[in-house]
Amino acid sequence: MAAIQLKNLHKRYESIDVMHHVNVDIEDGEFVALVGPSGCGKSTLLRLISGLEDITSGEILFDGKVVNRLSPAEREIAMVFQSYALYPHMTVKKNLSFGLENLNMDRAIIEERIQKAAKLLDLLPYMDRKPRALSGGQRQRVAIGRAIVRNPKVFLFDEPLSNLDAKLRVQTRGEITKLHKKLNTTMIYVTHDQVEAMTMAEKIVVVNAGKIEQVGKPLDLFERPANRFVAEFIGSPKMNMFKSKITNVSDSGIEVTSNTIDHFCIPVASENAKIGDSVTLGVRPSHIEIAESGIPLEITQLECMGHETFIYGSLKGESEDLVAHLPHHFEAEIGDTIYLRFSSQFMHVFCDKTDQAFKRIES
Amino acid sequence: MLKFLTRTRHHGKMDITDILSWLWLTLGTAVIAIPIAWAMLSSLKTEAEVNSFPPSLIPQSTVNTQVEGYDKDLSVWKWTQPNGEIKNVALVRRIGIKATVVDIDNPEKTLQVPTSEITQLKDVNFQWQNYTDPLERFDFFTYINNTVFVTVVATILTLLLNSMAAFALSKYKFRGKNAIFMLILSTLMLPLSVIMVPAFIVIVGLNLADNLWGVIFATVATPTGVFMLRQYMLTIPDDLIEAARVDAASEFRIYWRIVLPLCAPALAVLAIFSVIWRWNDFLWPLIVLSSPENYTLQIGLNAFQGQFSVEWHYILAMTVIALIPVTIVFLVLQKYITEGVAGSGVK
Repeated sequence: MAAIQLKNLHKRYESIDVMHHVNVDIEDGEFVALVGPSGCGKSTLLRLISGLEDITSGEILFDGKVVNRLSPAEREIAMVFQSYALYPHMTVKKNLSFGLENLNMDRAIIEERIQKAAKLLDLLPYMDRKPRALSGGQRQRVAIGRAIVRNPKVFLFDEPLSNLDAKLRVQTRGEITKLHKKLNTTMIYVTHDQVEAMTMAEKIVVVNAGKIEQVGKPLDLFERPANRFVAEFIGSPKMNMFKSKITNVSDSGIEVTSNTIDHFCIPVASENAKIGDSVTLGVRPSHIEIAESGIPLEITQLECMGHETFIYGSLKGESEDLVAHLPHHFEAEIGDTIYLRFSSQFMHVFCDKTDQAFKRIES
Repeated sequence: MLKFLTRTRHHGKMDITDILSWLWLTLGTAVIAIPIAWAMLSSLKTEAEVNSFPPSLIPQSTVNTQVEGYDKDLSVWKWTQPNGEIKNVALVRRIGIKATVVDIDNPEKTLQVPTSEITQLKDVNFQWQNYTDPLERFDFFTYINNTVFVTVVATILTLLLNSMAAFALSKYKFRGKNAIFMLILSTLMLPLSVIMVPAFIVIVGLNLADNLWGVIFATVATPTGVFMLRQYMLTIPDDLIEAARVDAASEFRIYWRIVLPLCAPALAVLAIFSVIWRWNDFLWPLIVLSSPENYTLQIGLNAFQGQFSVEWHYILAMTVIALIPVTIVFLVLQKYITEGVAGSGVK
């Protein structure tokens, strides 16, 4: 087990900077998810931590010790690859034992560790099979088993569920979380799927274009996004955004007026706010209610799941469609006009110049 | 087997494609198989029969018999008499269109018959001495020993060196990688005859002239092998190598335990090529080797080819023997060629 610190990490390929001065602290035994859109550098960050890739500048510390120059094996990490990367010419058993044999470990200890891992992951019936004779889920478990047998200080997962079908993905998600509880080892998990990150991780690191946008607990990121990117990336469907202007600033919050959805007084810290500044208002689809009167919306699309309903529609004067999420069944026809009510306490305000969010005043 | 051979494109119905593919495959088989069959059959013929015209398919030889009153054996001929009676006679001599023959049962009396009435009797006879004679007459076992040594050692070194070069060129990033690869490939364009003299000078400089190692060293690094293995190794996912690196495997262990086993099909192909090249190699060993105890089989076979005469029956017999090892190597390794191992563990 190890606590990991990334200090001012920088990575450059030839003349292109791919990671910009990354600082992250990961506690011992923590389950951390690195999320971000495709190509944001989250996998690169994982490879830098693993030691498969050299860093250009900065420091990586494992338990306070600089490991910049150590190989993956010396860092005592284990990695589960997106493609699983099982050795195709070896049986499951050989796949599990290969890493231990490389360490010149005693045969008896190797056997004991393999048996333990195989039992834990339900792999005992397949020990003599080659990877090509296994299903996707079984291969996945072998890949995790190969990581477990080495008793690593840190587990690194590189989008391990992306090759599984939807049902198996949900199941494996639960298994990995359970595994973490059992082993209590530091785990770093890369995913582009924010649902995976929200459900599994204790801490989420949002990466965008080689920069860390925000680090925090899953709910923190959902309720208090630090900037526009995090607000739009976390939560599905995406947060509704409205162009607005600050019309009044007071100690209890700022007053914001939008062309389309009227004006609100939002309880956020007002230090950096100036009257006349253009800002963006953010409202999550689940924070929109249907009322007898209010802001009219013409329904363009309706998704009914039985227990919940998504309503898509356009507001007059807004270019982007609005999405509302109702936690119950809702009968309506496309083309109907309904009335919406927004409550200001769940609204987010982002400065247009910096894209940063105004801090919420906690009540 | 019969079911396999009589398969048709549509169930129970002959199609034009069936006929065409049968024709094509039969033609292909004939083109490949007839020369080999011809060489094998001819290797069992007598020297006279190899050179006879019109050629015969099955090895035959003349029937000779001992006749009283004659020192030498006489050949037996079939005499079709004008009255239709057929009799076996022995030929004494033949002048123009007249032949002097003797009745085998009644040797005192000689007969004059026109040659058009007699035909020589032949029976099927395999000349196994074509195979046994050279074994006694010339140092076959030394030659084959040398050839096996050169072939085995050169093939092992070829596989090792070429796969190491291919591993570096396909799986490592370093400056000048492509330049080195192009340089290796460009040597493909230089035929042996161009570099023969400088290569020989190098071998002499290394004190390896008239030495089997001189034959081996000059041939182990083949651009074809490096190219083939590199292309194959490019298809091995980098993830596997990184997984092994995470698994604390040394770079050599990655090469030995991961990359080489996954390259088995490509290595098998290269092994077959290398065995065939080295086994059939003629020009280079001829240049390097000068004393008969170092001769390889192909150089040894050359001894049957004199300035004025060619002992075809011996050459053919030894060629058939020389074919055997290559055939065995091909039979053993051919299943690896079609067996694609790599890639199946990923996704």
